[in-house]
Amino acid sequence: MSKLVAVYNDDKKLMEAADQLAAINAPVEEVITPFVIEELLEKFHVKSNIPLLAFFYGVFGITSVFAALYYTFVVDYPLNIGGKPNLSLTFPVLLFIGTVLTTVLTTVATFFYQDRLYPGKQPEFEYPGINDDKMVILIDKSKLSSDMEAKLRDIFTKTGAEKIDEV
Amino acid sequence: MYKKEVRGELILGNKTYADITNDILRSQEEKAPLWWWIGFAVFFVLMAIGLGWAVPTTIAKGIGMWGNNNQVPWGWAIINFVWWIGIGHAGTAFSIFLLVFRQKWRTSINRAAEAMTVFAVLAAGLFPAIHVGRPWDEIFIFPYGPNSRGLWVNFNSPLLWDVFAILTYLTTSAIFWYIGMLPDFATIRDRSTGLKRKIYNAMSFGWVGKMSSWRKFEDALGILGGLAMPLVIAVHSIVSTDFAAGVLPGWHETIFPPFFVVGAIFSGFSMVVTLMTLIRVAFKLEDYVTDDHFDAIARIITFVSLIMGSAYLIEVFIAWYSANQFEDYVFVENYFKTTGHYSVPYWLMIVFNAFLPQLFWFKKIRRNLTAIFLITIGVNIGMWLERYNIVVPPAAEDFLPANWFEYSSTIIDKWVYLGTIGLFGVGVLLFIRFIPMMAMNELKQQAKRHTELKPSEEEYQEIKKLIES
Repeated sequence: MSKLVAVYNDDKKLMEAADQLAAINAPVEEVITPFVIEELLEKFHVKSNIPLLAFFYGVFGITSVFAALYYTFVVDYPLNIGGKPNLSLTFPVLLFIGTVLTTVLTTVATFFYQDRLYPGKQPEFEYPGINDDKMVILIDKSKLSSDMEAKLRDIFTKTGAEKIDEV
Repeated sequence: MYKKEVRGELILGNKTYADITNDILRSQEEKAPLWWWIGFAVFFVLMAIGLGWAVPTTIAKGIGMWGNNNQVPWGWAIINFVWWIGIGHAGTAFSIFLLVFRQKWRTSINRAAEAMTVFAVLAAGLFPAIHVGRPWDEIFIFPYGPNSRGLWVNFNSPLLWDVFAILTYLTTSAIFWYIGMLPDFATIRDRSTGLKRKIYNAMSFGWVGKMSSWRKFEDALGILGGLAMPLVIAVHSIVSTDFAAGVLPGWHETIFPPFFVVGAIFSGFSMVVTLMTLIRVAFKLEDYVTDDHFDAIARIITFVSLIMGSAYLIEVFIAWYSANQFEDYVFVENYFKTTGHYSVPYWLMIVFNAFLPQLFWFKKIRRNLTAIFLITIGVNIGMWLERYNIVVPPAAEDFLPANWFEYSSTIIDKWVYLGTIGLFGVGVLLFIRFIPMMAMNELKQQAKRHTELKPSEEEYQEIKKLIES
C-alpha cells in the first residue's frame, strides 16, 4: 500500500486534475494513459533526448560510412572502372542509405535502452484497463504528508475520478 | 468558434475508448470466419507450389527454366520485383508521408499499409535472390571483411545500391511497424490469460504507457518516419537507375527516378485501397474506414494518375522529338502503329493507369465501394503491365533486328509469381488474425480530437443564438 492511484476514464477530467496537481506542485510519480496525450506531456514538462541523440548518430553514421567507402575504394583497392575517378559522385547514394540504417538502428536501440524495454519483460505496473480506456495518476505515498494526501484525494474526487485506490 | 475537420469525421458512431478496443480486437478474439480459412488455404497452396516447387526447380536446373533469353535477360523476375517493391512503398508512402505531413486520416489505415509493406518487400526480395541463378554466391555482394578476395564490391553500381537500399528499407519499415504496435500488444496482453498472455507479453516488451515512455515513443517514431520518408524516394530512384544507367533506348531516360517513385506510390496506394475495402466489408468496420477515408485516397490516386499520364506522354514526345530511330522504334513504332508488336500491353496500361482513375473526379464514384475496388485492381494490373513495357519491348527489339528475339514466360515464371502472391496473401491473413489491424492507440487519440472538436454546450447555445438573430 505505498501508492495512491487515481483512476479516470475521461481525458478531460484527467487534464483538470493534472492542472490542479501541477499548480500545487504535487509529487506526481507517473501518469499512465492508453494513448499519448500531448497536453499532459507538456503540462508535466516531459522531455526526451532522443532527437538530439539521433542527430549525433547520424553524424557518426555518415562519417563511418564515408570512411569505409573511402578506405575500400580509394585506399585499399582502387579499381579502374572506365577511367572514372575513385572518389566519385556515386558515394552520396550509399552514404545516405548507410546513414539512415545506422541512425534507425541506434535510435531504436536507445529507445529500448532508455525505457528498459525488452522481449519477455514483465510490465512494471499493472492495473485493470490502463491499456484500454483507463488513465491513472500514480503518487508515491511515502513522500506525502497526511494533509497533502487529504488535499490530493480532494482534488481527485472533485475532478471526477472514477475510483481512488491504493496499491 | 466553428471547428470542422477538413477530411470529415474519421471515426463514426461516437465511440468510447473501450468501444475502439473491443471493435478492433473482435477479429482476433472471435473464431476465424470461414472465408478466412478458405483464403488462407488458397494462398497457402499458391505459396507451397510457388516456393516449394517453382523456386527449387529454378535453383536446381537454372535460369533456363524461365523465359529469359539472350535478348531479354530480365524477364518476369524483374517485372515482379519492381511491381512488389512498388506495392511495398505503400506502407511508407501512406503511413510515413502522412505522419510527417500531420494528416490525421492515416490513422485507421496505416497499420495495414505497413504490414503490406513488409510482406511485399519480402516477396520482392525473393526475385533478385533467385535471379542470380546461384544464390549461394550472394555473399559476394556484401563487402565483408577481412577481405579474402583481395577485391571490394563495386560501389558505383546501381545494382549494388539496390541491395543496400532494399535491405535498409525492409529493416526500417519492419522496425517502424513493430514499434508502433508495442502499445497495442500491451492491450491484448492485458485482456488475455495463459499462454496467449505470455506470447503477447513477450511481444509487447513489457510496455506500460507512462508519460516518459510515450514521449520517447513519439520521438523515436518521428525520427524513424523522418528518415524513412527520403528513404522511400531513394529506394525507388535506385531501382529505376538499374534501368536508367543502361544504354538501351527505352531505358536510359532521365525521367525514370521520379517516374518510378510516383508509380510506386500509385500502385501502393491502390493496393492499400483494395485491401481496405475487403477488410472493411469482411469485418464490418465502416465506422473506422469511412467513406471520407476512401474519398481522400481517391483524390490522391487521381492526382498521381495525372502525373503518370503526363509521364507517358513525355516519354513518347521525347522519343519522337529526339528523331533518334531507336528511341522512335520503341515508343512510336511499337505502340502507335498497327505493325507494333507490343501495342496491346501498352494501351491496356494507358487505360488502367491514366484513364480509369480519372473517374474519381466524380464524387459518386469516389464514394462507391465497388467502383473503388475495381479501379484500384485495374491500377495494379496496369502497373504490372507498365513494368512489362519497360522490361521487355526495349530489350527484345534493340539495335540489331537480326538479334531480335520474342519473349514469352514459362510455367515456372508464372508459378514463382503466384508463389509470391501466396506469400503475400498468407502474410496479410495472418496479420489480420494475430495483430491488431488498426493502431488502437492512435484511433483513441483521434477519437479524443473528435470530442474536442465538437462544440461545448455554451458554444452550441452561442451558435444557436447567432443563427436565430
